[in-house]
Amino acid sequence: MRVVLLTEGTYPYVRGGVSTWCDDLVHGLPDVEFVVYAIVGGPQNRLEYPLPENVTRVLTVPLWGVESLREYNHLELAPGRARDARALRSRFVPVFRALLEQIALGMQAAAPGELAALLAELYAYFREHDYDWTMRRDETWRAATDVLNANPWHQRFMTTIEAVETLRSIYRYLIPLAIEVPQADVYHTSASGLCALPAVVAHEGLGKPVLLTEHGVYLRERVLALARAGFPMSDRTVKKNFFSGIVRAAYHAADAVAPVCAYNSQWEAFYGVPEERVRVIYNGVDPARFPAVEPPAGPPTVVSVARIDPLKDPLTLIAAAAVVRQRVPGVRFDLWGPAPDLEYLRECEALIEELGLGETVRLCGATANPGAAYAAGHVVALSSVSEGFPYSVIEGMMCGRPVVATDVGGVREAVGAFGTVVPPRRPDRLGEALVSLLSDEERARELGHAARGHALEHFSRVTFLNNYRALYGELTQALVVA
Amino acid sequence: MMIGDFGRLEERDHAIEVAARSIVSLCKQDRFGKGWRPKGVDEVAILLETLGYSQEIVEELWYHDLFALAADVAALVDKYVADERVDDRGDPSWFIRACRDYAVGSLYSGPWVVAVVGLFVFGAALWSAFDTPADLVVTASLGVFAALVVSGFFTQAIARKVTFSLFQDDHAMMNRVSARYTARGALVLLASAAVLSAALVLVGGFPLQESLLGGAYLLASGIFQLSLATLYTLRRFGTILGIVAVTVVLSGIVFRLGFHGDVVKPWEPMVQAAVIGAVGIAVIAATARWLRQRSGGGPVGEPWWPAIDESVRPYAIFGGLYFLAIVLDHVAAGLLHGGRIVYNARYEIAADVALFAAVPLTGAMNVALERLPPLIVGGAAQYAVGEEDAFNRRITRFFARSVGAMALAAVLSWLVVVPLGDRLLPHVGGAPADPTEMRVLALAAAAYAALMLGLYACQVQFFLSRPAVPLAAAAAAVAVCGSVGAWAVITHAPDATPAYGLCAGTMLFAAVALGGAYRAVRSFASTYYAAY
Repeated sequence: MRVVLLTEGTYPYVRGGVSTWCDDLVHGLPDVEFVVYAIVGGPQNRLEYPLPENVTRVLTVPLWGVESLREYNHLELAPGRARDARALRSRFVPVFRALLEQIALGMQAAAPGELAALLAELYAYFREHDYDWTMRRDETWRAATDVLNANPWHQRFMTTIEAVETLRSIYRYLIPLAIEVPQADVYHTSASGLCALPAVVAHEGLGKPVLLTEHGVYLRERVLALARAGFPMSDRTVKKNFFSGIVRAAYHAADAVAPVCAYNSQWEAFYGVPEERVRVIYNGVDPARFPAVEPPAGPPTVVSVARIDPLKDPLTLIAAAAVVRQRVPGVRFDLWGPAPDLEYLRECEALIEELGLGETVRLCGATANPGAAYAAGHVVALSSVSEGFPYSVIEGMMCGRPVVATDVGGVREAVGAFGTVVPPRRPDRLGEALVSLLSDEERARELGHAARGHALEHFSRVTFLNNYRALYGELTQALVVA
Repeated sequence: MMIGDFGRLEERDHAIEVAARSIVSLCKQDRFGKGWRPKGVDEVAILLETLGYSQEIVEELWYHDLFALAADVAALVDKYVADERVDDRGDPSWFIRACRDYAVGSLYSGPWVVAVVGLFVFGAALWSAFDTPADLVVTASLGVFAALVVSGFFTQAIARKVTFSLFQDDHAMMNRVSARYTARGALVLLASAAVLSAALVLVGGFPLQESLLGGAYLLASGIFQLSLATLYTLRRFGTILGIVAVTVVLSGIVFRLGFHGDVVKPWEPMVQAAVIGAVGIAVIAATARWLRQRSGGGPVGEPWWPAIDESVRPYAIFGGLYFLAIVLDHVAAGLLHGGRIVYNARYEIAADVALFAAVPLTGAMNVALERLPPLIVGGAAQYAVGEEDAFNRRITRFFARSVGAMALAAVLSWLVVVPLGDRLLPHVGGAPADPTEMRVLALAAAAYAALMLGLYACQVQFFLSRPAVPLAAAAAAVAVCGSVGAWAVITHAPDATPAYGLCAGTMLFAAVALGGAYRAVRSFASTYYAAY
C-alpha cells in the first residue's frame, strides 16, 4: 500500500507534536510505503528526523522565498506549462473568480463541494499552464480586485496595497495546485489546511480515498496566528475566509476524519463534518521510551516540555511559578522546548527577570530526550491556550508523573482523573494546582502511578498504530467495493 | 423556567457581558494586532476558548456548547468595537530622513571619491597612477574597461538574487548565490584576461609584457569589483569604504616605497594589480565566511540553478551593457588617430573630471528610492481597493516629481562641474584646458548626469521585477555610443566626437528607461502585485 502523507510546516523538518506523530506512524508501519509531501515556509530546511526505508520519497514544496516554482520544484511541475493568454481568460479567470467569490462569502456561505470542485479545476488547468505566469498576469489581478470591490465591506475597509499583499499570499497558498500530485492508494493529510489541497484534488480528480487527521483545530490556530501577526483587519478577514474555505473543502473531501481527541470533533461538527465520518484516534507513545521512574530526591521540580511560543503560553507558567514559589520555597521550574520565535523568548526572559525568578525558572532549550526531562521532575505542567492531544501530557503520564495542564483541546480527555486541569491564561489557578501536588508528595506519587496505568491502557503506540493500519485498510477496501 | 430563575438569568447576562468585554480587552492588547477584532461566531469561540471557557463553564452558563455561547457574545462584541480603517499618515520627520537617505546614497560614490583623494595624496590609487608611461597605461586601461563590462554581468546577477534572498531573510541562499556568481565571474574574468592578453599581442601588436599587464588589470580590478557586489547589495557602505581606503593606502604605499613614486617597468604596475586582486580575494573569502555563519550551516535542498540563472539573466546582461555603453567612447578616443590604440590622456582626464557630475545625483536617487516603499505601505493606506486608479496616480505623481527633482539636480550639477573642471583640468593635466577638453568635459558631465537619471528609472523597474525596458535602454545606449564611436574612428573625426556618442547614448538610455518606468508606475498596483 502506498500512502501520501501530507504535512505543513512540520515533519520531517520541524520538531514538534505533529512531527512526532508522523515519525511514529511511518516507523511503526514498515509494510506501508510512504511518500511524504511536505509543505514548508521557505526553501532552506534541514531534516530533523531520520527517514525509514519505507519513506520512498520526500516531496518538499516551499511556498515562500522562491521567485519561480521551477527553482525548487521543476521536477514536480506538470510537463505542459503553456503561457496562453486566451486560455487564461477563457478557462482560468472564470474559475479563479468563482473561487474568490466563494471565499469572499465567508465560511458559512461557501459550499464546500463547490470549493473542492473549483480547486480541482484549477489543478487541472495548471497541469497545462504556467503557474507563475498565470498568477502574475494583469487579468488575474483584475479578476481578484473585481471580487474584492464587489464586497461592500472590503470596498470600504481594504486598501489597494492590502489587496496586493492579500493576493500575493493567495498566490503563495495555492502553489500546491501547480505541483503534480504523486500517485497513491490513500492520501493522508496531517491537517485540514494547505497540505490538504493535494488530497482534495486527488479525491476530486482521481476519486482517491482521503484520511484527515486533525491535531489542533487548524482554523482555530490559523485565526490566532493571523490575529497575532498584526495583519490589517481586511487582509486577515480574506485570509481567514480563504483558510476556512480550504478547511471546508478538506472536510468535504475526507472519507474519514480522525481527530486526535473527541474534543476536536465538536469543532469538526461545527464546520459541517457528518458524525459518521469522524473516528477519534488518540496519539500513542512507546512505554519503553518513557519508562516509569521514581521521582528524584532533589528540590520539588515542575517540568514542562513545549515550544516556547504564544500557543504554548509559557508566560502563564512563569507567572504561576511566582505563585508557587511563595508557598513551596526552593521549587524549580524546568521549561524544555525550542524557541522558534526569538522575540517571544526575550519576552519570557524579561518576565522571569521582572518577577525575580532567575533562581526558580530555567529555560533549558530543546531536548532530544524528553523521557529524561520528565524523570527529573515531580510534576509535569502544560500551559497552552490551544492544543490537540499533546504528547507532553501523555508522555509525562507514561513516565508516572501527575499532570497539571490547561483545559484546552483534548487535554481533559488525556489527563482524566489522573491530574488537574485549570483554565488557560490563569496563573493563579495553575499555581494553586501545582502547589497542591507539590506539597502532598504521597498524593502526587499515587496519581503518577495511576496516570501511567491509564496511559498504558489508552495511549500506547501499539494501539495508535493498529488503529491507523485498520483505517488505511478500510479506506482502500471501501474503494475496491465502490 | 421558574420565576426564581430570573436571578440566574441576570447572572448569565452579566457573565456574557464579562466575556464580551474580556474579548475586547484581549483584542486591544498589542499582541493581537492593530485594528483586529473577531468576526463571526467561530472567531469569538476561539477567543473564548483561549480565555478558559471550557465545556464545564459553558454548561454553567446554560449553553449546550461553546458555539451557542459564542453567538451571544459575538453580538455584544460587535457593539463594543466598530470596524475602522487604519490610517497611517506620513512620517513628519521626512526631511531628516531625506537628508539621511541623501547622505547614505552619496556613499555609493564614496569609493570613487576615496580613490581620487588617494591619487592626489600618493600619486597612485587602485588602478590609476600619475606619470605612468603611455604604453603601459593603454593596456592597463583596456584591462580595467573590460573588467567593468565583464564584472558588470555578475555584479548585477548577484545584486538581483541577493536582494530577493535578503528580503526573505534567507542567508543560506544569499551565500550560495554570492558564491556561485562570484566564482563564475572570476572564471570568466580569468578567461577574458587570457583573451585580452592574446588579442593585444596578436591583433594590437603590443609587446608581451604590456599585453599581460592588460590581462592582469582585467583580472585584478574585475575581482576587486566583484568582491564588493554582495556588500553593495547588503548596503554595507562603511565596510566598502574601509576596504577601498585600505586598498588605496596599500597601493599608494607600494607606489611610494616600492617604485619611488614612478612606475616605469611593466612588472611594477603588475605588482599594483596583484595588490588589488589580493584584497579582492580576501574580501570574497571574508564575505563568504560571514554569510556561511549567518546561514547556520547551509540548507538541505539544492535549487535548480537553470531557473535561477534564467531569472537573473536580463539583469546580468543589463549590467554588462550598461558598463559597455560608458567605456566605448574611451576606446574610440584611443583609436581616433588611426593605427594602434593609444591612451588619449586629455580625453580621459576630462571624462574623469566630468564624473563629478554624477556624485550629487546618487544621493538624490537614494532619497527617491528610499521614499518609495514607505509611500506604498504608509501613504497609500488612504486608497481603498476600489480607488486603485487614484493610488496609481499618486505613485505616478511621486515618480514624476522625483524625476523632476533629479533632472533639476542634474542641471545644477552640470552648471557646477563644468566651470569647476575648467579650473581643475590645468592642475591635473599640467596644461591649460583646451577647447576639446572643455567640450569633452561638458558633454561627458551631461552624459553622466543623464546616466544617473536613467539608472534611477531602471532601479524603479528592477524594484517591480521588470528588467525588459532597462535592458532595451542599455542596448540602445550601446548601439548609439558604439556607432558614433565607430564612425569617429573610421572618419578620424575630431577628438571630442566620442563624447557626443556618449552623450547621445546616455540621453537615449535615460529616455527609454524613463518611458518604461512611467509605463510601469501608471499601473503600479498590478505591477507591484506581480513583482514577486
